[in-house]
Amino acid sequence: MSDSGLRVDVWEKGVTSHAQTALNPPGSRGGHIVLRGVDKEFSIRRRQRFVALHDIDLEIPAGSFVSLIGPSGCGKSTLLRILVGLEAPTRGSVLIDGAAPRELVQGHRVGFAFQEHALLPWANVVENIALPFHLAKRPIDQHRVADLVAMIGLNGFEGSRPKQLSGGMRQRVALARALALAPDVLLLDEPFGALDAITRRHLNVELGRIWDETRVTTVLVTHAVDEAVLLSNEVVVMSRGPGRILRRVPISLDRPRTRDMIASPVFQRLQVELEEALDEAESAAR
Amino acid sequence: MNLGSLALGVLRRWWVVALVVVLWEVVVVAGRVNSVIVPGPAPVVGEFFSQPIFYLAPLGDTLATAAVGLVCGVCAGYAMAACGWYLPLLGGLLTPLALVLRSMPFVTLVPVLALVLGYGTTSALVICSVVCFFPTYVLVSTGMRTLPGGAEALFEVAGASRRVAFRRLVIPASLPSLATSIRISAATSILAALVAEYLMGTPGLASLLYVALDDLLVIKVWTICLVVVVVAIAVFVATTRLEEFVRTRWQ
Amino acid sequence: MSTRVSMALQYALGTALLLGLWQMLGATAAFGQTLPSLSSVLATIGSATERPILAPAVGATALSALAGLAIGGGCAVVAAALRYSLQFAREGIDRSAATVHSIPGIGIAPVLTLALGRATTPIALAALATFFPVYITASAALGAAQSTHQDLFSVLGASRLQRLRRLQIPAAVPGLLDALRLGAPGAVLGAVLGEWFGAPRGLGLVIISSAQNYQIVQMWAASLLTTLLSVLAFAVASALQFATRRRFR
Repeated sequence: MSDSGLRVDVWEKGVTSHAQTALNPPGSRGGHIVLRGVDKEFSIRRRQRFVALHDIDLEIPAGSFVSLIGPSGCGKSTLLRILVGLEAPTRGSVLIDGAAPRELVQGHRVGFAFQEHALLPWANVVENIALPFHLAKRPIDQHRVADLVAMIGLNGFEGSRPKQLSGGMRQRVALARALALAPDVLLLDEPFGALDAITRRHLNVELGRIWDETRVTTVLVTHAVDEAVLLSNEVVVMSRGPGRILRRVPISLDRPRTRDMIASPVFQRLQVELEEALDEAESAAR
Repeated sequence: MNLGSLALGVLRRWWVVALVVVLWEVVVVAGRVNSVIVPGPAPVVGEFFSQPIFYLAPLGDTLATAAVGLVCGVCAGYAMAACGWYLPLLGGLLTPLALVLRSMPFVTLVPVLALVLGYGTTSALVICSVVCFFPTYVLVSTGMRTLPGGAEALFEVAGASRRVAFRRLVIPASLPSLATSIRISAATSILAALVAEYLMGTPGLASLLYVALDDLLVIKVWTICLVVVVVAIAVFVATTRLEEFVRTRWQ
Repeated sequence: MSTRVSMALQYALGTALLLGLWQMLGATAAFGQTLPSLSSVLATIGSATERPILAPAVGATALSALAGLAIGGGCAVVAAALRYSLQFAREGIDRSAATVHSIPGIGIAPVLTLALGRATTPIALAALATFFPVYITASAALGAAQSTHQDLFSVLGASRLQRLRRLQIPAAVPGLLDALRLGAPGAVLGAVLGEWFGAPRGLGLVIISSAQNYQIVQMWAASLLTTLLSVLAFAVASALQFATRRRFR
């Protein structure tokens, strides 16, 4: 399976081998997420409220990979922001390992990847990846940063600035940054949304591999059904008007998930099922 | 709105000014500063009120010079901008010249003009007018040219003559720029008048200042400076309000 | 043609017209002795007799301007940081900055010569002139960090100080350099004005003394040098901004 030695990343051949250094020892994970009766309302003007989320009940066991899919405006990004404390729920409770999201953030135990990568333009790749160390007031683990750079296949680009990188490379750096402190929870808000199909597929596979190694509790928000099926243990379909959970679909494919699984009948069936659910979600709004 | 909330509103916005006055007093008292050279706020204000005419008369001279310069300069500037609109060739030559002259600082422009025109009250008036002319010309020209898109074409298609277009379209469009240039020119004109007086000795507050400095009449110097500062701030506030008013009505 | 280029061309054309007009008026003695030609003024600047007067004056003014720029710029950045951190004081600080800006140099220079001495006044006035443009730009620049970056720092559990140091200040640097560029010529001119009030050295002193002694060409030379110095300050600051642009954008 994995042999020690340098990681050779050859995109075209699709062949990779991992460095032995275990980035996160599996089995030591926290990241048990519980949402109970979560509502989120925004007031747009006086006496006008927009209900983004209604009565969300969701439990995500530690170490699982859950995708949130749904039509635009169903509140999936809002849900993610609530999980990390960027928004507060109007009603209901959010507990991560039994504590509020604020504890998670102040304990620097969460990794978040934004759709717009949000890399600091004045810092290079290594400095961007190392940012969480600075903010957590921990000494920089140079070894780990180097491993992360190797893992995302950007050896040789350590000194490059975001401006000099392609979109896919920037997202890879953002991903590495999110993983820098070996978080208990990894939240991804459509991180691959702005990329072309080929790069996107490569990064999907990459993320799957990373997750296999680290088993960090991950919540991925995405529009792409195939991405959700490829990566997750469970896909949660949300509908809007107001945002709520429509259906939960467990994905019982074997791991590690490979690209050729996409053509398999099981995969295709799951994809169809989810797409039907999405249609239902879309029409539920009207 | 009662007096209490009014007072509170004023305090909230001007607390720094009050702070400065308090600090001034504190520095003088506690800072062991030579009170002959740096008097506290009380003696300075007291000096003003003990003979207000002594300060207000030259202030009147200064303001009169500045006002005349403002009116002449702004009118000339507006007129030239209008000519520039009618005759684009003239505008094309004059605008670059005006841009450069407008960015000429006082410390170079005023001594030079004073030298060439000769020392005297007329020169002071000319200097103030010149100083108001250039920003007005530049701002109003720009204002006349940035018409709401398509409006000029609309007028053309409707067969309106240049004159009508000017009256109904260009003039209203230029009013906000005019207000801005008045605000800028008012402060600039007062400044120019003061600098010209200081240099040339023509009647005004700054000439008084020159004499007071020369004779080292310390408290008088402070009082004159205080008057200058208060007037400058008052003009700033008034012209800013005026500009806001014009902008909300005509834009 | 972009507005920046057309602006630069306008200024170039204007300068050429002005210089041409000057030379013509001077050479034809249209205004008599008091308006010498451009060529004679330039000759004076270069002449051996004038250089021991003009060169140190330029140096002294430049130093005062630099010191004033540093002090005024520094205070402005501090004021902008305070404004950012202390929400309740924001309006008061804005208003006082605008008020300070409206105070004419001539209104405060005499008082400064009494309080601070004749040699320090040019620096103080240069600082005063620099304060407002830098303050305005710095205030805007401190808010320049994009909201996604702000969210990032929230998610990473950054403290307020860390946010300021690692996000807002680096994000503000392009704006700050721009502000410096705008404040640099003002600093030079503030210094010269301050020198009018009895400074021991500097271009302002030369202007005043040559005006009093009716040394016409010398006065024109000093005025020209003042303008050139302020343009140079702007050019240097612009070059600095350009050089760092690649790093921060």
